Amino acid sequence: MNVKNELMSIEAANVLINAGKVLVIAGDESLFSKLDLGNWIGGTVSCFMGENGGEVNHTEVFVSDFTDTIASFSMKEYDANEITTTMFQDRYSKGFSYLLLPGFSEVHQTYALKTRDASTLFDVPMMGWVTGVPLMDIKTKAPKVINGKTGVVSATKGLVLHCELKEGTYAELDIVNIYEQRVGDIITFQEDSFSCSDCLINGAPANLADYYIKNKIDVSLPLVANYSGASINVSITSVDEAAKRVSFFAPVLRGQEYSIAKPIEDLYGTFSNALPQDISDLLCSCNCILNYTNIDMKNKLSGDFRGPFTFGEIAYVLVNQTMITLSLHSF
Amino acid sequence: MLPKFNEKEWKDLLLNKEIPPLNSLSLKLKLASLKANIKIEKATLMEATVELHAYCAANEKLHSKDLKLIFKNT
Repeated sequence: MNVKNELMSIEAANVLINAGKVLVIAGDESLFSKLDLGNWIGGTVSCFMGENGGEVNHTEVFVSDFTDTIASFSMKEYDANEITTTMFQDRYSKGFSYLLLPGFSEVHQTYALKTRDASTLFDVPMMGWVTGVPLMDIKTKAPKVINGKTGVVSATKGLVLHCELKEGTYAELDIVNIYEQRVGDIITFQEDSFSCSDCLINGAPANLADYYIKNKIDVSLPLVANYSGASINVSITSVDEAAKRVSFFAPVLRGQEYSIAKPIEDLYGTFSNALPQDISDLLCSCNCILNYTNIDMKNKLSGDFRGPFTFGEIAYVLVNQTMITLSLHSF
Repeated sequence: MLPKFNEKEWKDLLLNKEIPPLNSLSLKLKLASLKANIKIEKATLMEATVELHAYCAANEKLHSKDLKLIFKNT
């Protein structure tokens, strides 16, 4: 592994901050006011892939230290108008960018919906995650991002650490997704949206909520689209029988074909077997909070991977129920 | 050297006539995004081909293994 990725005390994180290290920090919102200002961006989450397995931790922060792998960096905030315009222009052409989006915010939704219009999206690796709150606080607290340069806490702006890599190296994103399309009904949508009522099922008009209810579909199974060999998930937030509407944690998109995921008997075994064995090139990773809950990852290791469990993962596009890995290679 | 944009393999990829097992996530996502844009008529096949070619030209080293797979017969 090229980068320090670990849970640590506030005191230990402040030692790194005061040494001028370039960091991405994840933790409970209450902890960020105890961190010194410096070269870091932060996001609120309180569940982690730790050394002893999945854990909820309200006293330590998870730190990824990119200092030794990068040549230069910049940290910037973006609103919903800038997140798919200026933000892409600010990326280093030979580098990667690490994006934190406050969960349930306009900037989160805009990024997810408008990235398809950005022709340069795939030119530079774009890793990141959607910030969250403890699951018990989901209806009362807003997820946040924290700008370590200024200390400003925001529930509305996206924060990005743009990193330029050293000569002769390049970064590569990949995903670990245990779900794949089942053979069966093909679901398509006529608008890009985080929720839907009408859709097409095998080309015929249908109501998605009715379809879920009639077929008693397990909502822990995501909708899966096949992106030229990559399975991309959209998780179900809720099926509202009265409103005949299904809500999602990521948008469904026009032009993509979705199927319900194949059921998996042994979720943890399947996840463990899907993990890459060689992590010598790994920079960092994050995993989905729905994997923590559905796979029941409490006290269970994610192989040698460490990182936050998040409310949405960004591997260029917003995905769900997926682990993201960012690796560093030499040309 | 990267095959020119008018080679048939580019169009075959975009029209699902060839579905090679690609390795690179970014190339898979780029390709899927272009295919979807053709389907919803946000881009013509020609526009998508030019964009895919330009993307691969800019990232030729990164996608060298996948490009060999795509152009295995040339």
